[in-house]
Amino acid sequence: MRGEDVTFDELVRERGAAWLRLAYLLTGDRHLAEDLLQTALVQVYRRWSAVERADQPDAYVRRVLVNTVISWRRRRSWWERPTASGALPDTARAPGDAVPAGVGDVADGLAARDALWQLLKRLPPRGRAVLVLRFYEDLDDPTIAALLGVAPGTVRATASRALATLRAELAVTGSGGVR
Amino acid sequence: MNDIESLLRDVLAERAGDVEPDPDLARRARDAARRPAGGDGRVRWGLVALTTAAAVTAVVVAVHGLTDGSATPVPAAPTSSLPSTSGRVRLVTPTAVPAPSQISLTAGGPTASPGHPAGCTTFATASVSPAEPPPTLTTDGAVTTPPLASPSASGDGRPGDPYAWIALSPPPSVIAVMSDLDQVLDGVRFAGWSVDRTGRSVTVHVVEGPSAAAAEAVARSCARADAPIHLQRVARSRDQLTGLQQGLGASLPASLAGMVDPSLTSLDVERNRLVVPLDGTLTAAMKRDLWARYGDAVEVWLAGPRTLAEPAPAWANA
Repeated sequence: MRGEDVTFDELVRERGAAWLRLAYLLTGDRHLAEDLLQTALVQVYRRWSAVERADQPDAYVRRVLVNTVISWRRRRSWWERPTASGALPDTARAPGDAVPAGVGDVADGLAARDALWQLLKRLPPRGRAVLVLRFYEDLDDPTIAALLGVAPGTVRATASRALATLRAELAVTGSGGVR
Repeated sequence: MNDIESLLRDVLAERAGDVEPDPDLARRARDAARRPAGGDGRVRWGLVALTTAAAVTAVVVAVHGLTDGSATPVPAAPTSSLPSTSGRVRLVTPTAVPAPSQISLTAGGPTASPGHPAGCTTFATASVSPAEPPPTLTTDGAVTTPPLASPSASGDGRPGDPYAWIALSPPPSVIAVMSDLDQVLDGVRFAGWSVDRTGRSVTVHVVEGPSAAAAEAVARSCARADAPIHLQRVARSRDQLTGLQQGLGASLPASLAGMVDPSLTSLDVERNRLVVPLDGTLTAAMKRDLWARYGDAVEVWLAGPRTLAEPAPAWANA
């Protein structure tokens, strides 16, 4: 669907749900995701002539959205540092707690998933964005690089650092055998 | 044992599945983005372009008289302030440090030429509803301070922050004014515009200099009845800050080069400076060096939890 074939309203109606899911994964907060998506859409509307010329208006909007989220998170992260500790929010069970027989694997899996989600929210904005775009949107590194406006090597390095951080933090929390 | 990548895919897919579609998104986005006369949500860029071209042709001779002087780099006077405790480190004026006369701000760029020297009067009538009363201005055009009447004291919703105003849903007239300003303001006489915390008015940041009065007239012409424009004079133009931003990688001292990702810098329009995030810890010597090079044209934001505990450097209180 080329931009010139679709109006702003049609594009939002057709792709809005997907953008909202992406925004949610990037922010970890539903209401914030809605607000930032709306912020991005206002920018898109004001540059609609550029969107109309784009071969892939959906990709254009995603780029605006991702950069809106990164910009917001970056600014906020430097304004507010509420805690210096590495404490995680509550997980399904504390490391070392006894687990009823037969449910250990399930509990481990749930704990690992929950811990991973919480850790993902604490990653730096660009690291989180790279992981979401790679593992949820299934974009390749050059595409992610173009979307973020960075070099492909930066994407690879950012992903590598982010994954290493997740592995290390998960190992510390003892939330399942993740390598 | 799960591989973290496959686990990550599972978690992301699972969490994404938790998001309910928002049937109201299109309407809210349309309401927030639509210009007053935008019936179907599509901007009439062709009409805007035609009107713009006609206006530029009519007043092109006047352009030359309006662009002098203000392009000269004018570093702002140093201000004294203590580092904030909110995670922000503000470069302050040390008495033992040379004044920032060495500051190098490179003007230039594609926005250096004013496209609408006559302001919004050259085209705004095409986008203003006939039912709207004539534009009025709430300031006298002198140096003013933008209204900060927001009840919020959280510190994160600053004027100029798009997240702050979008949460307040500015009226269509304010959005229209913002769009008009984007077309009228050039990068030489202006630093940009910002929206106040209420989302109800816009502040245009005009560069101090011989062209300031003419530039203020341009900005003033974009005001509407329910979208007032305030004016604030600043030291640096957008082109100067952009030039500084683009040349930052080359101008940074070697000790800091590895701590800065130039792609993460951003312009703080309201505070008329370049915001530079740093990964690492600044020594007092580094801060002095930064101040000597950039003065208050650059503000450093430190990432990392240690920022909060960082004491004010001795030289800052000298």
